[in-house]
Amino acid sequence: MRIKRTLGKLSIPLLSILIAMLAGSAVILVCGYSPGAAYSSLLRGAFGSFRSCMGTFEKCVPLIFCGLAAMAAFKSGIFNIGLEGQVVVGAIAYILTGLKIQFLPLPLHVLVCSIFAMLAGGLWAMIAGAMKVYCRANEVVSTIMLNYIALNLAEYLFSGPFMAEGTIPQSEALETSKLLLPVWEGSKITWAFVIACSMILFMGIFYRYTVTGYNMIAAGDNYKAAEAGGIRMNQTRLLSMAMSGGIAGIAGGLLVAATYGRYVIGMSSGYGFDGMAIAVLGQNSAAGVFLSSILFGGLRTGSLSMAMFEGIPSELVSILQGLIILTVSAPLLIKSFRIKSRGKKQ
Amino acid sequence: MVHLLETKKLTKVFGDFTANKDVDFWCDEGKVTSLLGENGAGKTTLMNTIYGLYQPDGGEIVFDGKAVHFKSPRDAIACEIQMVHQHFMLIDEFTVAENVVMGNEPVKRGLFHTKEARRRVLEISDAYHFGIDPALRVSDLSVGEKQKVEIIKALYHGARLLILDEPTAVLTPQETEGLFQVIRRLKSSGKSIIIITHKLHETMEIADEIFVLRHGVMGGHVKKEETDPYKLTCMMVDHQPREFKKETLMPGETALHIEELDYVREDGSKALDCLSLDVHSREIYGIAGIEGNGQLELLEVISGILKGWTGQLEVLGEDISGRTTRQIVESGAAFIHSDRMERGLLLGQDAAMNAALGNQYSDLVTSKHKIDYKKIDRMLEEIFEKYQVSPRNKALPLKNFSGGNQQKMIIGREFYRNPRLAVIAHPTRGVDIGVCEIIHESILELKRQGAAILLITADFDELFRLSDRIGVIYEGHMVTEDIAEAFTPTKLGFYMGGGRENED
Repeated sequence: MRIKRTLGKLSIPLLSILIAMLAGSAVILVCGYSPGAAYSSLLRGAFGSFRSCMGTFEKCVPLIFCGLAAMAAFKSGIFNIGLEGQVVVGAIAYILTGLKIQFLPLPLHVLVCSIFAMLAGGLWAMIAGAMKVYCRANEVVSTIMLNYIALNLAEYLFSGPFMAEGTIPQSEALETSKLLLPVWEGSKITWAFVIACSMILFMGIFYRYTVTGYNMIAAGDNYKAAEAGGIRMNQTRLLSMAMSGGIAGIAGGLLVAATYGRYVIGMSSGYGFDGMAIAVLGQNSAAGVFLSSILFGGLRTGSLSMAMFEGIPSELVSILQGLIILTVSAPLLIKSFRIKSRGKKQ
Repeated sequence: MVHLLETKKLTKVFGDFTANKDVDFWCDEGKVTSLLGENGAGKTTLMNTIYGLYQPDGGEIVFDGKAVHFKSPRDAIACEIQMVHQHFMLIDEFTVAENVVMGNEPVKRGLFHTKEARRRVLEISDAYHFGIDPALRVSDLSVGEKQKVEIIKALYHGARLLILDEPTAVLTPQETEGLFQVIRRLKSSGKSIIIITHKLHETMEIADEIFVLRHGVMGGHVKKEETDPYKLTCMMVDHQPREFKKETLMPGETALHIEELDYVREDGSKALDCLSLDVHSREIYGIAGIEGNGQLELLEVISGILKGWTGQLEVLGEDISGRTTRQIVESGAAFIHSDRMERGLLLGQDAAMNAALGNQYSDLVTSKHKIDYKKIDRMLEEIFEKYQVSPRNKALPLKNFSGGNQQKMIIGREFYRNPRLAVIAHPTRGVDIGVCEIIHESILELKRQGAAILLITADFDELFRLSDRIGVIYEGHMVTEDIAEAFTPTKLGFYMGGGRENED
């Protein structure tokens, strides 16, 4: 029974990936490449060897966080388009606190900086949340605007007052001893990946077993019924927005701590939007976000080897990602596809 | 004798579901034929098939002695068969005349001939005593008048056979009586009428021939003279209806106290106007009224959803001003809102999630502040069993349950915490007789357990069946209240329409 249900849940994302790949083949053909070669080198580059798997896991850390962040908002029926900005604000907070408190030992340093990153992202998102709740501002519009503010703020900070010496607009680097290093020598799996996995677990438990999580799901399904069931909508919406932004903030922080070691202008570009795509593809479940993050991480690593060995531009992967999202966000398309195939069987 | 319309072994299948199976049905010229059945019995499907909206999967339709195959309503209309649907198909911005003649407009020099249109409509209106002014805009008409416009429209375009789908569902008793007079006149002028309904006393009043559908199968045909409401009920449901006895218990302390309650809507209109009432434990207080007279707001004010009211409002002895819905629910109240889709259910979530709603703060579904799915499972089993919910599938999203089962889930969930005050709006709207009985029984049981119940309903049968006392609400004001036995349907209708005692 349970297995059947899980399979049922998986069928829509899997089918949409398949349809997207078919449509993607057409694009690849038109561009003059061989779809077979493209896909096989994509697959090999992403999961073909131990090393490439490592690369995929490394890439998917910020994706997991952004996916969870998008999910936190979606669950209670809010469209947080502001993940990009919240990631940026989180990263800014992380590096600025991190540079100030380098005297702390590593675990404490990461903890304190992450908390600041989370708070910054959460508060940034709550601006839009409060505007929605108290002024009925559409969160889609306000979060997009806040994205621009955050991006320009980062640009100002790291090409102005906090710019490192040199010509590249970036912050000073954290001491190497303050970075999240690989779990064991030679691997690319950093402690950040471990943190991401625990976050997945935490979110799964949160939505299944806590009353607050329950309230958020109820609010997202039917806010009027939720209201009648004693759920305070304003509170719930604000909290979801804060959670969403907070998780996005951690994503930004970990980009600094595990990948770049400093703030580099433009380093987080696209993660927020990928996060929304991941949440949609993952059907708004923690486990789904994990699987889709690995897929998207794989696409990111695979695209490099595809470009390297086959000479196929890595932009094709973005097209593939876009196609997956298009098909996933049209569940009726998949359903009609399934009904038709069932009809043929009869 | 040849029937005007006859279906022979008509079958209609939707996917796996057989909506009509081998249905033999007929109606005669100049007669009123009633098609009776519970919700979901297949009445509307049968009529839609006759009307050409659906194509039959088996059997045939004979009209006027000839087998017909209607590809669409257009073909049916060409044979002068007209159907008035439950939901009116009128354009609010147009006048009555414009609505009626649409599709066959009188034209003068290439332009719409308003005068001629009005004249023709008035002619029909006068002939059958509709009493409708063709120059009025449809948006200014009452529901009953809109329905008359629909019938005039059917007559204008030519109707030998008129099919009315649940025509009285939205009407007050007075409007229903007006409709029946129109039907009688139509009949005496030789028109044939089919009425789809699930109301027994109306069938008994207006019909000549009565057909009963049960689960898509023809359950029988009787002449009006040969039957009575009790026999008809037996034909409609599989089991014998239990005779219902209302027990009057000794009312206890005041559970709900409302005094001079005012509430103004966002648009500035008064929803509740100096409303006062008291409900005691072991008592069912029924509120009668035409919809939109403040019932919705009353429920939402008591349940703490609407703020900004003035007056005095005590739930279970506590003043609720400034209290949240959660606090009010936790003090022992339960609320069943009128629109189950809107305020009752999480349609995308499964039965377990829905059972938890409203109970999520109590230890009925939590242990140590964590959602306890074992407890929810036990709760669901109890609800499934007690209210005979089907399917008994805890993981199925609520949107895939039928209306009756959705309603049973809501009632089950709200009553599960043994509330001491229940405010219930339209508990049996759109559900069939079987479900209706289960729900009524559970409401009476709650009363026996000592709860106070405020019942808001538009269904007279329900109102009289359950209420100990009845109050009539009109434009947010309590017009009159008395013990239930002091009211008759006519008297209620009089007050519901805004009548005052001194005009009586």
